[in-house]
Amino acid sequence: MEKRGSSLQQVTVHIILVALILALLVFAVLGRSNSGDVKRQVIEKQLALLIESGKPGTILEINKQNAHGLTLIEEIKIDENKIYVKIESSENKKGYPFFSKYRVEIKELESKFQVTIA
Amino acid sequence: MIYSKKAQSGEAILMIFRLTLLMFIAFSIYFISGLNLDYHLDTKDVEANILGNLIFDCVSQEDKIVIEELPSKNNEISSYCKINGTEKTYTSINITKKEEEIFTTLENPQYKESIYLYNLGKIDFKATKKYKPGHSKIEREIDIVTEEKTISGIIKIEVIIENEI
Repeated sequence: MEKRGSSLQQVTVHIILVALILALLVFAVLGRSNSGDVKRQVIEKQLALLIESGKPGTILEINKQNAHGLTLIEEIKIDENKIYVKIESSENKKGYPFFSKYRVEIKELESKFQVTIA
Repeated sequence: MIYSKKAQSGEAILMIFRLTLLMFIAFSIYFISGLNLDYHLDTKDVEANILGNLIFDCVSQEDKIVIEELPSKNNEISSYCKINGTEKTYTSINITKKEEEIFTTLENPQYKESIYLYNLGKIDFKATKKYKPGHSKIEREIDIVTEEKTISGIIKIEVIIENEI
């Protein structure tokens, strides 16, 4: 009886630990495959291309929400010729570099971000 | 039946071994999935092309170039064209006479040098990042304005943009 109890306890601890490791693995892989990283790359690189080829007087508007009304873009910053985009908690701390002949400013409005090339 | 202390410690060692093995497998899966899920959108070639065209528009005015007004060093091009954010970009500009372009195929370096009307040399750059740098070459016919006359020439602009990763 004592052996059975001890054995059951060991098996339970074993199963809990295995489940914990597998859960960590699943969450880690899901975090890696999160599309937020891809969306962030797409937005920052498209924005960089538009700014680089933009003429003075151009105003670019980027909606914060996607087509389903869900907030997609949390933050867009431009600092020292680098674009910082935060999407679904995915953020590139180094920023994406761009070049421009003109002054680029970004303004946060209620439902969108407004990039002005002047 | 009661487990002896020896058997219990043996069981514990076996459990540690199993868990270590499981963690090793889990890390392997994570690492391999990371390799496959690593997504990189490369737009550097397009950016190099945009920068090349910006420099071409800057050094030429209505398809004409006044060589005397151009900068004398590679690193002065960006400031000459007033382009910001070009720290990781490398540019070279060569302008040759059009009628003598055929002689560039001759392997005579001395003669090659003599046909350059304007030469900012080759780009001195070694790629060190994981992803290849953006590269663009622009070659266009252009009128070159000199003190005596206007002659036909060819401008070659080469741009390399280092990848950030």
